[in-house]
Amino acid sequence: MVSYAYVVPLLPLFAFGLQSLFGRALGRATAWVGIACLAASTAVSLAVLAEVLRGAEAAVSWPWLSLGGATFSMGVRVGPLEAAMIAMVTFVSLMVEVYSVGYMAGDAKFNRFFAIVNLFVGAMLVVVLADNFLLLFAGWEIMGLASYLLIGHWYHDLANARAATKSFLVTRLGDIGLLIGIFVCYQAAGTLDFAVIDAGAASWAPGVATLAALLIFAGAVGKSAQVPLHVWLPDAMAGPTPVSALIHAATMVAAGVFLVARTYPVFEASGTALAVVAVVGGVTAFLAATVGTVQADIKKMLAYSTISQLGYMMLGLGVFGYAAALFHLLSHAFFKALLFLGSGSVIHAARGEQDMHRMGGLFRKLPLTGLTFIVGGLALAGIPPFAGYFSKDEVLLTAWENERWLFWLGAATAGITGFYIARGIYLTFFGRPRDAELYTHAHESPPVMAVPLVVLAVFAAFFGWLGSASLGRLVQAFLALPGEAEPEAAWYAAASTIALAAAGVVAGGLLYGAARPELRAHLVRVLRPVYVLFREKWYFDHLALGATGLGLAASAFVGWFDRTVVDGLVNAVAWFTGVLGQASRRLAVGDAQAYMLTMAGAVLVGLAALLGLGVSRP
Amino acid sequence: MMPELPVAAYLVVSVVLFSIGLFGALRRRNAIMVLMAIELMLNAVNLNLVAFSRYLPGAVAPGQVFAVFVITVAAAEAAVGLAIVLLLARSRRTADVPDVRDLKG
Amino acid sequence: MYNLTPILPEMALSLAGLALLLVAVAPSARRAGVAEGVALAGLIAALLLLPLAQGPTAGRTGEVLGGMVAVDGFGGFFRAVLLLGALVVVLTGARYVRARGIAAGEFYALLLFATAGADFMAIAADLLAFYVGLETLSLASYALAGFLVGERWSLEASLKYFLNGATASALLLFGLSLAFGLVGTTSLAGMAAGLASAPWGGAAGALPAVALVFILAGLAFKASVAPFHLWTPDVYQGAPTPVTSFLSIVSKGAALAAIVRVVAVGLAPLHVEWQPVLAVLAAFTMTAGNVAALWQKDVKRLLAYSSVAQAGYILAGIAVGTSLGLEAVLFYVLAYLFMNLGAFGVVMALSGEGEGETLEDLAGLARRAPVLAGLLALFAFSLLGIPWTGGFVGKLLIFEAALEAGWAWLAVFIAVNTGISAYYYFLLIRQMYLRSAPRAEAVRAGGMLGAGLALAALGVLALGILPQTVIDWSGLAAFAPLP
Repeated sequence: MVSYAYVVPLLPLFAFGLQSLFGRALGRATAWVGIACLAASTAVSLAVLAEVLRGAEAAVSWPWLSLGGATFSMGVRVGPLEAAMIAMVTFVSLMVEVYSVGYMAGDAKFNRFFAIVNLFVGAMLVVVLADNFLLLFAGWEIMGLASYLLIGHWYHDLANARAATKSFLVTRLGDIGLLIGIFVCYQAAGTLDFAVIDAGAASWAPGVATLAALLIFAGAVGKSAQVPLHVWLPDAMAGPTPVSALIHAATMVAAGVFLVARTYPVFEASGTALAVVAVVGGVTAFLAATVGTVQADIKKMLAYSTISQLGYMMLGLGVFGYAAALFHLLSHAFFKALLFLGSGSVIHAARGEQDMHRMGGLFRKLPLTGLTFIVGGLALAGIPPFAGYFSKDEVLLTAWENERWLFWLGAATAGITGFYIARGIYLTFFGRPRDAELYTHAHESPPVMAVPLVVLAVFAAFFGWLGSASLGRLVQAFLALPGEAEPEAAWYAAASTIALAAAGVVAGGLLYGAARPELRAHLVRVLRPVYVLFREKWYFDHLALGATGLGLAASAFVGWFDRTVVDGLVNAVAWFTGVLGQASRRLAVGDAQAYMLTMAGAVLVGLAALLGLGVSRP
Repeated sequence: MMPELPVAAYLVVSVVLFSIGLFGALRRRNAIMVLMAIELMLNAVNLNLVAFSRYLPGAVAPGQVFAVFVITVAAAEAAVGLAIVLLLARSRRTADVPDVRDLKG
Repeated sequence: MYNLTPILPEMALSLAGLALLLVAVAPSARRAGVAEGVALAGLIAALLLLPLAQGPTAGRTGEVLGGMVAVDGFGGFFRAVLLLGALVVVLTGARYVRARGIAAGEFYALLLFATAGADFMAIAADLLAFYVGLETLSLASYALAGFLVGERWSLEASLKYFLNGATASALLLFGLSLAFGLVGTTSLAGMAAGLASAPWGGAAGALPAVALVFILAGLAFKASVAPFHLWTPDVYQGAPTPVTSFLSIVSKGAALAAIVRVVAVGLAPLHVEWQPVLAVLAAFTMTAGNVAALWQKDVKRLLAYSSVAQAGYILAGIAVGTSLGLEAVLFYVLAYLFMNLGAFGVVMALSGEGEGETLEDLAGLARRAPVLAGLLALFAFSLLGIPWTGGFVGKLLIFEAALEAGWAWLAVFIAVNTGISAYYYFLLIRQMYLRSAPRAEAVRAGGMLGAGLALAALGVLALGILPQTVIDWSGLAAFAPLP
């Protein structure tokens, strides 16, 4: 079975083909065509995983294009990392698609939604299984395209279409870096095959490895929404909630982490690059968590939480915790998909309301959703024995061993995480209903949405056990690189993490559950500067504007930008490109003789260059 | 018999002629005048071709034939150009190049 | 006695063109239909005659028409591309021509003459043949651009194209005359040989470089290479859309072929000079095209700037100066043929039905015309270089060629430019897929137009999914031009 792994991505892509060609004829059955293909794909993935667990490996490759010195091939390779990833991706996708049948039931573009989701799943699986950079990049691009179309799914609201463009442009910045990083690898290794690159990376000149690793990391930073390219992910919440769960929490955004893991030998060849990965990850985890504490929108809170957790994974990779980071990737996929689907269930019940301040007391109306959401929340907070505890603990332990200050940053983040998720749970499910009408009309979701919640909750609750020390750290042992040492248990490190997380949960629970609202208001007043800092997302969205100067803010360009795109650092790049474009356009003044003059001028410049500057021979 | 002029002399005249033509093509407003200035540039080319064909061994035929082709094509070019200018003058009541600039950016 | 077999396709085109002139004066109510038929027949006949004209290709340069044309794989490839391009232009443009009341006989006659001229540029082995081909193409194009005589923009396009073109061809001729003066022959092979043995230094030392600059200027104009590209957006926007489509592929394709023939082959000994110059021009061209395209509101104008950028990518392949670079260029030109003609074909499908040609008019197209929208998306993806389209493979090959020959900075330039271009290609996608349609009525595309678009889409996908098959089948790798 393991050598047939290539059918895993082909099945969803086949479904995409069917759905886009015969969508109209199929009607509502479109969804079930996709689900059937995904179920088959999941079955194959699990079979592959079972065989790989028994030690099987496979690499299949077909030559695709050969001209000149290089041969480009299309091939898959299956090892522990790939097997675990495809099993997770197909399984979570299946859950999300089943859920979507209920969630998207009334949607006018129901068919299109399912078709694009299947396109996405296929592309993501291509990324995971690809045995060379070319195929990986191909899947990477198509994944981005699907994400773009799904964020803008509800385009009748222009803001959503704008969010789609923004996410696309920001990730694009990273993608350019990735592409150039691929060039560097090609120059250094003479091929795009991972096997050759992995084997040779250690012998590259250190500068080359660092350059390649940092450029590849740029792509990962864009896709995985790490600082400073994180600004697109909260906006991406404009897409339907199942999309947020699948693409912008469980799978696509984790592809950046996967990319670093996939090219880990290149990173290992350069200590600098790993240090950068660790610091970016740690800083991202901390900043995003703090911003998460002041979000009112339930999905935005989860988005910042996703950014923060992805930061943990990067941190883990950066401090040599390869297996720990991937363990966290897998467990995060389950509990974060669960949290998003749970929030979708709440939003569904609240008829589209996403502001947690208008909810409250919903537990009585949505017991199942509430229960599963709490399981997901505890897993996220890292409270034992839920999944997040084991994987996060593992990441922090490696940080403790290798980079003490990053451990404390991560531990602090764990405390903040506990706080904001407790806050979210209390605001949503407990306390007095703050909006009577919303409360009266709320109702539990249909079974087609409830079943995926329960299944995912089981995973969020128990998946972590597989990596626990008492069960022999099965997951880490399976994923670990050859020769990778497991971190030594340090009880005081583990204890301080748990204590901080628990303190965070308790603080959040007390403040939002038990304390009187006046106390909260008072605290906000006292801590006003911090509160504003967090609410303004550490002013990241304004950073570039400030940097490029207030004078520019007044110019006409900014108006254009505000209408079409971007804030944050992207502004600067876009601004520069835009100015270049205006200059280039300005050459085309419309006067034919001006064009002729430009030509004559170019001829003179050419003559001067060749004769005067001595490009030509004497 | 007088010594022949060096080829460089022809080259100088042709460069001057070409430059005058180019200047005219860039500066004159009227499209007809621009067209005539371009003809001047072509004549500089012809002068080059004929002069070189006189000086280089075995180059008489290709050089002069090339010049004849240039003259012929220039005539065809003038015909097309005048037709365009005529249509333009009829529809816009102007034959000045700088006046025709609706398309830009 | 001369053997005319090698130019049979061009003779077929010219005969069909003459026949079309007869159609133009014949009193007939169904003139447009007859004219389309004759034009298509001429182009198909030319394509069918092409294998015969190519014959056994090895080493026949010297004997063909007194050394005027070269019968080699390179010329055959480009002739096929140009003829195929003209064919798709006629297929996709016919409805537009009828809808706008363009005089069909004269229009198609000029189109065929221009194609014949373009062919001669691609197979020229002598400056004379090259020059006559160039002017045949140019003079016909000037007239074609102004064919919507009743519309201001069309005449303006025509005038601008004419004035700029005449100036550029004067620059080119000046360069050619200097090159002729250096070697005393008009044969390209003779020129290469003469320049290789020419004494450098002394009073005449600067002349080769001067000749090179002037020749490049003229060719750069024709291929819309920045900063000689400024006419392009104006003319592409103002000209009738089938003419725009023709200029973007046939005229530009012939100019790129001529750059290879005249500069890369004829001036081969000057490669130390022209390689960096072409590389800089390529980088400048793709950047100027892409950044200006960001601001466009008119689809034709946007595609004009896009085609400027595309010429930059192709030029990069020529600049690296290896045989791999040339193969990449050939592949890219083929992909460009399909994707660009397809994009303009969709624009014509809309404007032929009386739709506007601005970005605003594309809003919500996916609802009104899902097939057309899907096709335009496919062509835009290919122009951008999204995987599994012809444009992606073309770029991949150019990257490979550039990296292998040590032009890493050029590859990086292309990568960054691809990133920039994503914005405006996605603007097209966004208009079609993420906007609501202001109107409800559907847009149809059938008949000849549908066939042309299907051909283009098939080409883009075949090149993207099965590139090796296409390369092997067409024998692309053996298409180096004869010296």
